[in-house]
Amino acid sequence: MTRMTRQALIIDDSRTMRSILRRILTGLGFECREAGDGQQALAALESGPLPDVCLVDWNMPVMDGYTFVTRVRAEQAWRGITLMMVTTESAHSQVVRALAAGAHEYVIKPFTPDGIADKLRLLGLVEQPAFGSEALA
Amino acid sequence: MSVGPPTTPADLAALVEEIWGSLVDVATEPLVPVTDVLDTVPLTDPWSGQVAIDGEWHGVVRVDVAPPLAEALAARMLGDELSGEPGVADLEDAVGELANVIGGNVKSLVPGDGVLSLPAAGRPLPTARGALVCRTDHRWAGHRLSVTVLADVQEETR
Repeated sequence: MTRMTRQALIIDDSRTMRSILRRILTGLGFECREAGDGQQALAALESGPLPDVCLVDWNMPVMDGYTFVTRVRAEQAWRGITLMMVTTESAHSQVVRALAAGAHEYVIKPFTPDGIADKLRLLGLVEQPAFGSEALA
Repeated sequence: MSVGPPTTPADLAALVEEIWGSLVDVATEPLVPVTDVLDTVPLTDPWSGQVAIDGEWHGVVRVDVAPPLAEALAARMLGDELSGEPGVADLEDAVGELANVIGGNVKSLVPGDGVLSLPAAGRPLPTARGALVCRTDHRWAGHRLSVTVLADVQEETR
């Protein structure tokens, strides 16, 4: 069965953090694009193609991640994009605020590759591991 | 006026170890706490990153790293994207992000919903003046890493 490669947009003002996330997502089979702030990310969505998922930092210059989430959710054509916050902001009130604005998941830095993969599995964007497949092979 | 010390040296050291381990492979080279007072004198000419927390509690979280450690951090974080030695922008980005992640986690320990600033990073970075809340020192691959939490920061001087 042929399957389309999933697309991700990584939005973080830190190039080094984008690099870490890109390696994790590439390892999970995603094709990745990057944006350094919310404004750049909106431009990336407008120019297409639309990603399956955006990983969104909160604190960024120009346009922060929360504003980006609200802007994406206000656009009917972008309703199908999954939004996952990946941020150091860990206050309960901010988690609630982001989820209420339309983010689907919330990951607090520091994270592990497995932590990111688990969240993407919960969102149905990564295949479940074939438990016991080695024994069956 | 700031409210209470948000974190102890032990809390801060645990945070730093967890965060360092998420950014750099520590399986073969662990981050080691430094306890010898002679090893905790201020670093000479470090790369530094800093974030401010402003709210019910206000202060700064500052990270100072020895230049070889900053280079190793940037190289590990950038991986295959790095061709050659990390440049100034790479080093500022890596050290700034380290300060950002540590600062964000310290913010989760302070009372109220504070606001975390964007990170500043550089070599040198203006020195924050404030009341010392706590500090932790570590060594990785023979090079120093120091993290300081200051409260009631009034000014910054070079």
